[in-house]
Amino acid sequence: AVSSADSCQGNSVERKIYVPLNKTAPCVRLLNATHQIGCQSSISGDTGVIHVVEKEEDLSWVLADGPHPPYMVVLDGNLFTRSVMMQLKGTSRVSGLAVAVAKPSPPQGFSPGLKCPNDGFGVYSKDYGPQFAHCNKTVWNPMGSGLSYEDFAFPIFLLEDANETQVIKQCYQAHNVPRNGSGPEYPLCAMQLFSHMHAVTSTVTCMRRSSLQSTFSINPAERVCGARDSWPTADVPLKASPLLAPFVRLCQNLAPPAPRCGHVFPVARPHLHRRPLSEFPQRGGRALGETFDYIGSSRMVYDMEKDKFPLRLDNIHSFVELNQVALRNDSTLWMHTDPVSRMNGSVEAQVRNLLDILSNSSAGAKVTLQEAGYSQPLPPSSFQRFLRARHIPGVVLTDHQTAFQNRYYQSMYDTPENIGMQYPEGLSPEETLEYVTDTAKSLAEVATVVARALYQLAGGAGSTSAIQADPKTV
Amino acid sequence: AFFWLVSLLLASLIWFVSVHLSDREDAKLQDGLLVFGAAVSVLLQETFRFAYFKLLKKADEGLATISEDGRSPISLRQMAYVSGLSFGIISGVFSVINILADSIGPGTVGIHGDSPYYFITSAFLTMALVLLHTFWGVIFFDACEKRRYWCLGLVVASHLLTSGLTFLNPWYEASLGPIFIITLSTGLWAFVTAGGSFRNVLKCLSCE
Repeated sequence: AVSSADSCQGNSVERKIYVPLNKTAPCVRLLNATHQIGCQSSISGDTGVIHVVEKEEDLSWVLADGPHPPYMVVLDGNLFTRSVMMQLKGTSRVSGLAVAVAKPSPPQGFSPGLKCPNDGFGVYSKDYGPQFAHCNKTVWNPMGSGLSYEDFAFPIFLLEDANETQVIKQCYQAHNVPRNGSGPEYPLCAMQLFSHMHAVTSTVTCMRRSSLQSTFSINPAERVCGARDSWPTADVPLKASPLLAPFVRLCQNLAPPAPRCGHVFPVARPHLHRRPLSEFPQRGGRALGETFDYIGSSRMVYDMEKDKFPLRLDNIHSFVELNQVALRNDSTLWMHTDPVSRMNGSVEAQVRNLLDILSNSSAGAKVTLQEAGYSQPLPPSSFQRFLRARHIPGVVLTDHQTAFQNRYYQSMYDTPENIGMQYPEGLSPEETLEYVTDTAKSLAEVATVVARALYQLAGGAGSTSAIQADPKTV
Repeated sequence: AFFWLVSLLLASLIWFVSVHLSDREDAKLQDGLLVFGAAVSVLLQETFRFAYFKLLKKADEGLATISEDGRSPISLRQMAYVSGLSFGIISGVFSVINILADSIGPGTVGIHGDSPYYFITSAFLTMALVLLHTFWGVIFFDACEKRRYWCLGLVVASHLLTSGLTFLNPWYEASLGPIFIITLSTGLWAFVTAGGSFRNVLKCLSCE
């Protein structure tokens, strides 16, 4: 049997029986008030006979023909699609799934997120811009299969190491493949997956247990709720400029599982040459967990309304948000605004001003700014939560005009290679930190434009050409 | 049983030290050290069996002095049997518990090409070992009592032989077969040493 767990391989008899798989990531359970998504195993793990599925025809053995159910399916990454997963979900002959990461990434794209991310939690609803709600106007993530939001009764693991996948396939070839027309005989090659999950009933219980766990250092590897403080404290800013690009993977890298991690794409604070910092009281804000119903920004807005945040909503003059900016076509950066709030004259004037400042800031930089226009709603962004509270004039900057440029949104293939970060061969980790990739340079251009615009919005006079972002920091 | 455990502890200490003092990478040397360790363990076990015999002799004299009719309530033959049995049980438990624990889990031996009969042959081997220790106990104590040192030598030699045969695993025909033959013959020998004979068996069976 092949087992995926973090037990230490002790004695020699165990080594004769099991081969541990170390480079794996489990699919975890996530809960909200009404539903659960994700996967888990039974308390002592789930076992099944291995069957390798490399093409769709192989599925029929698992679903109907194979004589030794339940099966542990080892799926090729290119077949990790909604149709295949729904077939596996519907049968009781599957006791678990291991997905081998597809190398190279599936060329047609892969996104387990929704076609309309954070639908229902943004600003557009039947009361506000109903023609824009539920992606009626623009489908932001057409590749989205919604797999992240399905509830599976069996454990699913990601096999990150191609060598381990090869070991499994060799074991399968040696023992499980039918020969001479007859079915395979025991002993068969099997796999055991451990990913039992625990959850809590409510936020109150969750917070109490988490605080107990951290106070008494019980079981530090298991966390039932994390990232409660989804924004770091900041000085009193005048302009709120959240810098975030939510990026979450279905599978976590820790087993036993950690809860979902909101990954923030860090953008460098621009190097401000020859301007004393006191001129720039504005600071940035960062929100975590945005993929999951905007919990970060909605918490920030809530705290602002309840005066628990250093900044009050009334004090926000304008809003600039950086969304996905890495995959720009021809260096074009798109400026999205909310058409519904712009129907108000004063808001429209301020938005117009904001757009003009941004466009002027791009002069001389290798970035072309274009407006997405009145016909388009805002893409999924934290700004939508702020708009729900106040009609603040704001702009969301992205690399896409309509649908996402990123074909691997919220997936395991959304890696540095996906945004073109290539390092030359043979660099050590310290050297890669120092090396400046082309992606870093182009992101630095974006940061420069934003910095100049923010300077002008903050009321800074004088020329902004000396403001440059440092690609090395980026 | 305690005596057996102590002998095993000493033998494992010797093996451990020798492994650490040697070149870890040399596989042949490590195999050789394992054989050496097994031989040392056998010799130590027999030494401790002898020590136990001495202890029981003393205890026997003591029991005889304090009893009412001047004879000890347990005969030396009974002591020999019990001592051999307990040596065998502890040795068997030690060998097999680890294997039993792994035999529960959902997998079986074979993923790296080992024989799938590993568990059943381990079980038979342990059984043979338990029986052998019992028989050796009986023969050993009798030989020490009657000062027949060639019997002692034979017991030690057959223990060494049994231990050595296990190194032929997984060639189970070559290891298990001879070990069972040795078990049977040692059993017969112990039976005769303990005073048994064909006539006794018949008498027992006809329940006179």
